Amino acid sequence: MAALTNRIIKETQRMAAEPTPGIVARPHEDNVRFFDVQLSGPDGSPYAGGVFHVELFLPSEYPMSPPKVRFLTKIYHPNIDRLGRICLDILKDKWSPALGIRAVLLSVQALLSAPNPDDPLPLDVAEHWRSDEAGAIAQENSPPRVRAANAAMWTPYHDRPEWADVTPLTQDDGPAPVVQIQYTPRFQEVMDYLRAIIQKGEISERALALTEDAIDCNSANYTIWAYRRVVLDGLRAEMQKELEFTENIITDTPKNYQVWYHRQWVVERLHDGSAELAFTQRMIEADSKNYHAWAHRQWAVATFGLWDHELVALEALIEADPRNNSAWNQRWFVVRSTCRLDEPALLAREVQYAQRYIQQAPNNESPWSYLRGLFSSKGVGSFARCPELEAWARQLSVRFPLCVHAVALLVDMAAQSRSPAALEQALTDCDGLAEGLDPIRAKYWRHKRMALLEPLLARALAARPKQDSGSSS
Amino acid sequence: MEEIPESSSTLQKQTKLENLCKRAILNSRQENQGFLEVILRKKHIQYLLTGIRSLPSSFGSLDASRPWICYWILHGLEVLEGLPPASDPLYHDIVQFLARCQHPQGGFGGGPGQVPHLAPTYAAVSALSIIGTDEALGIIDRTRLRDFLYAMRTPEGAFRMQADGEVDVRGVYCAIDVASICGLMEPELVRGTADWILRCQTYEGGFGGAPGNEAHGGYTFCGVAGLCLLAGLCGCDDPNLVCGSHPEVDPFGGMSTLDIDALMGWLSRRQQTIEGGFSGRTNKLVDACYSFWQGGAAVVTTLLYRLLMSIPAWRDRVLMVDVPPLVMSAESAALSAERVAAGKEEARRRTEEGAVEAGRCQGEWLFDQRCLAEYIVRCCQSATGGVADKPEVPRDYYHTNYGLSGLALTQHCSETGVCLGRFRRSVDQTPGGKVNNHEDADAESEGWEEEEEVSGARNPEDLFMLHAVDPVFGLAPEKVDRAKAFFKAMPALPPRRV
Ligand SMILES: [Zn+2]
Repeated sequence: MAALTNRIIKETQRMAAEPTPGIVARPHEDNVRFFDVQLSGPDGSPYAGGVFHVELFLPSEYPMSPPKVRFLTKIYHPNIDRLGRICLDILKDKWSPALGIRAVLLSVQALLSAPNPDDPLPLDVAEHWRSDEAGAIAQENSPPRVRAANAAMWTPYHDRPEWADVTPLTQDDGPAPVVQIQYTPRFQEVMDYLRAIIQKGEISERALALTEDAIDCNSANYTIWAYRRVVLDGLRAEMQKELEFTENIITDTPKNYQVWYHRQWVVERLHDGSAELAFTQRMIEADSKNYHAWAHRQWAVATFGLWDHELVALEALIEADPRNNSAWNQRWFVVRSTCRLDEPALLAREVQYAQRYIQQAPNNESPWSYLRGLFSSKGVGSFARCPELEAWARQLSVRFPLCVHAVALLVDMAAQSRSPAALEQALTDCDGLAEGLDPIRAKYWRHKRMALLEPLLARALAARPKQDSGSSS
Repeated sequence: MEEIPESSSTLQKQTKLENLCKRAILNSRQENQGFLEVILRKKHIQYLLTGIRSLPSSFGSLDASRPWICYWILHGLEVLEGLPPASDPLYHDIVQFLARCQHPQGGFGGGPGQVPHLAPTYAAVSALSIIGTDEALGIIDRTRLRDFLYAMRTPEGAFRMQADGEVDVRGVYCAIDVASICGLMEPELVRGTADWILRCQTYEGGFGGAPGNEAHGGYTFCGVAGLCLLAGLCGCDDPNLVCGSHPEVDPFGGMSTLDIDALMGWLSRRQQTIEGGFSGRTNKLVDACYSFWQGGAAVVTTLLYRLLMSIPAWRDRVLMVDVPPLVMSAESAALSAERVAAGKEEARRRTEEGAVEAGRCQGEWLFDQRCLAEYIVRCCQSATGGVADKPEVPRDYYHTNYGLSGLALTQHCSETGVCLGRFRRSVDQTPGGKVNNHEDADAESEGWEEEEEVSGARNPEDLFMLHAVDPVFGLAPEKVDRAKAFFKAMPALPPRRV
């Protein structure tokens, strides 16, 4: 829906009018910033004869920032990772608006002729291409994947003599299949052999290698992971190696439940969680809010007692991005697990910590949430434990009249303290929030107002001389 | 208004997305002459139907989630009232496929021959309930399903997703959802479960995946819907049975340690001021799928609140506090008036720039139903059908289903306010009858009900009203009733061999 720049229209028209050999780029019908690209492998390269499906997306800042390009066809190449992300300077710091879609695609094609093993893909490529969060991101618009030249680098199992004794077992989708996936030949063959091996219950090195190949096809297939654990146990495999394997997979698919669980299983077998802090730190650097990384970190810290430096590490993360709520939650976890919030000095320390970040940016919800939590049923349970907080919040609400969080905290305090002045202010504040300051939450503020008033009404009703029918609501 | 200019990466991403949404909202308002109710019904239906038989190879990453794809497509069609006629052989084929996903030892896997897992089990039971025929519901092996559920149960009362797999609140929700539908809820299966769920509530008010983890929309939905099922609140036969089916465990249906105030606050703060949609966590970006996860949790929480307040002991706990007399001061009234004026000005400025039009919606639920609808309709609908997570990312079946389900929640209300499973269209909402006129923005509107009627302006296939969705099960209410009735009529299972 966003307005299209003339630039994109012109480039698209020019590509249609003057096709480049070996490159076909078509914009999506429903989003002209998305291009389906077919790249032919250059002659004389290992990829000759293959056709690769590539996706190109023009971000809204284009041409001031480069297009985002990704291989959809799996390809073995030192500068292209498992997710198809490409390490190419003009897609990053060497981008110039003078380049265009065609120049980018020509460079990508050239990369196939001249791989650059000295410049492998860094781990922290921009997060635009999300992995399989909630298993939802598959792109359904891509045409059936073409058999790619990477077959040249991968030998089919039916051509491997050491697998000659195994009869592949195809999937039984029935006579009239539904939601049938058009698997690539490699995907299908790997899974057919895996099914055969699982049916035999084979525990062997080759079974282990096969699960790795299958995980490479679909790391979200939990059946493969479960079987891999059976094989690992059966072989009494070296767990240190397995730990490294999980790091590779997690780097490629950081939001995959199965591999995170698998890592936990491996660490349990090792009885050693000492590598987990540095490991999760790396994952958190790549995506500071990766839920799995934080949950794993909590588990490791609690299981192996790695509390000592956690608060210091978190302070650095919060300082780098005070809106990183995952880091705030982890702080809560550490403080709650290792300290007594009951101690006045400790409570004061935590209050001041939150206040410092609130004063830096009064609209940042994370420290407000933390501050409120300290006095909630999960914390010390009462605002009375910090009498000076009210004046502080009030002063802040005067200094920043549009800061919803400050007024909201005052309302919560009044609901608890029930001091007449605070209660009365809170009732008007709820109106103010509903009417002007925070209209999207108007219903919530009206609800709060009612909750403040209800005890008053109940008391008024109770004080009324009893009539025959009593109160109705 | 920020004191110190921030370079926070979170803030940069947020601001960028706000601007994208503002642009999409302005463009859509212009293109549709201010009409909100442009649902590309026909195109969504077409899009969903393209995937039901065959999917391209890029779906390889969902090869262990195929029952989910069935559910997303079928339920998306249900919400759009676009399911094929009952005579379509498609239903038989889906049933036969799901039968192949059922494991001989009970439960369903993500595809034929895969080991059973609670997530595809939930998806398969849901998909079969949508089809709703005797054939569909009849393939579920209840005895073995019960064995599978017990096998997944941990001693504490949580559930793991698979025999050798992670324990989290998704597992709990999936297990008790299918147990409720298939008539397998028994105290022994869920002993300790409510307490375990409540341990997942965080200091922020929402729920994390496991105790200690960050509050998150998906897990909050699972926690709240799970509590609701445990309280026996959904579709209970006896409307007087408000305390839940396990009063021996807890007089408040297992919820005495629920901090419902914190939960309501957290849920309402997840609705984004500019974009109108929900974010999954504090300081994260808006995403259409949370229209259902957070929106559904908010609906269920509203009903839980009413339920708890209807229990005299709970009500006393809330109301029997020492109340001082009120003294009104001119000073505080003046301060408040100032704030209201400044806030109104700010809201007007935002709307002019393209933010959703907040505060015009009454409705029953704890969030601004109108603003949520505006986000889904204006920012996430793909012109060729389907719903995307946010502007400028591709559509997919998952977001199409949950985006439309969330939109349906904004259109429907509960009938009695106590019993879920009986959702009705709000009064005066007939298909195509009501459309909102943007020009009328200054009118003191009461929300949907009072919006101006404009007839004959839109294509009949773009009618606005969607089918009701039960916020606990994620199914049409009558499909829940039908499936439950089917299993209730079956002979009781023999006692479990332990
Ligand atoms: Zn989403």
